[in-house]
Amino acid sequence: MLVLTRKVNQSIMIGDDIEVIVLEVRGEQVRLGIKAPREIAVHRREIYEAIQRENLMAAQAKPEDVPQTPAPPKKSARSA
Amino acid sequence: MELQTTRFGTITIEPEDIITFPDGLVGLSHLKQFVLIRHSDESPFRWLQSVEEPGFAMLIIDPWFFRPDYEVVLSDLDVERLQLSEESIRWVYVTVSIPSGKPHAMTANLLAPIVINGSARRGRQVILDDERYTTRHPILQEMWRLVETQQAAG
Repeated sequence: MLVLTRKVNQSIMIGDDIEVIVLEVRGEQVRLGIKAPREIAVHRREIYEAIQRENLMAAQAKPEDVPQTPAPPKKSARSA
Repeated sequence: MELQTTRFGTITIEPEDIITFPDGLVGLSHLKQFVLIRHSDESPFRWLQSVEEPGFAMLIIDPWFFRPDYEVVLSDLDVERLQLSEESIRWVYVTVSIPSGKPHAMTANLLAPIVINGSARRGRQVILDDERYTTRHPILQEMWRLVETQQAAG
């Protein structure tokens, strides 16, 4: 892994199109700005991983586990 | 044409049933072609069955079935990748996770809905920038909330 030291308002270039700028450092938190072409998806890693995990979970569902209706019937709620 | 699937056996599909996800799913970018399978008549559940992997089918649900105020805001890139126009038929689903042996604890991922342009047969899993939503919304709690709201409204 390449390791670089940067100060606030300094940036790094990744290829010709992607720039990552250090905007602010406050204690343990670092604010980054990312300039990238629109077609490059940029996400927080934990969110990306959480979505991937849910996709794999959803793909483990078995048809017999799926309830006919997932909750109290809507009709009785309406008539109540 | 015939499609082999692990869960549903061999099913017959038409080429136009196939929905292309040009960027695949989040974390599963290699899966690009799917068909929608109804769980049963009247059920809000669907399966997003991979054409490429017989064993891969995600359980999905119509989010407005349990969360009528659900909002999906698409980016310009989403619109472009989906080839959406004013006239396009749009479908939105969210993935459902069922913990083993605990169907009542099932959750839906409201943060990353599956958006489909039914007219162009294109799909995309979009990631919303919306703090109201998480990857694990308890579906039953949402439905109870809905029931309470309806009762409050009289």
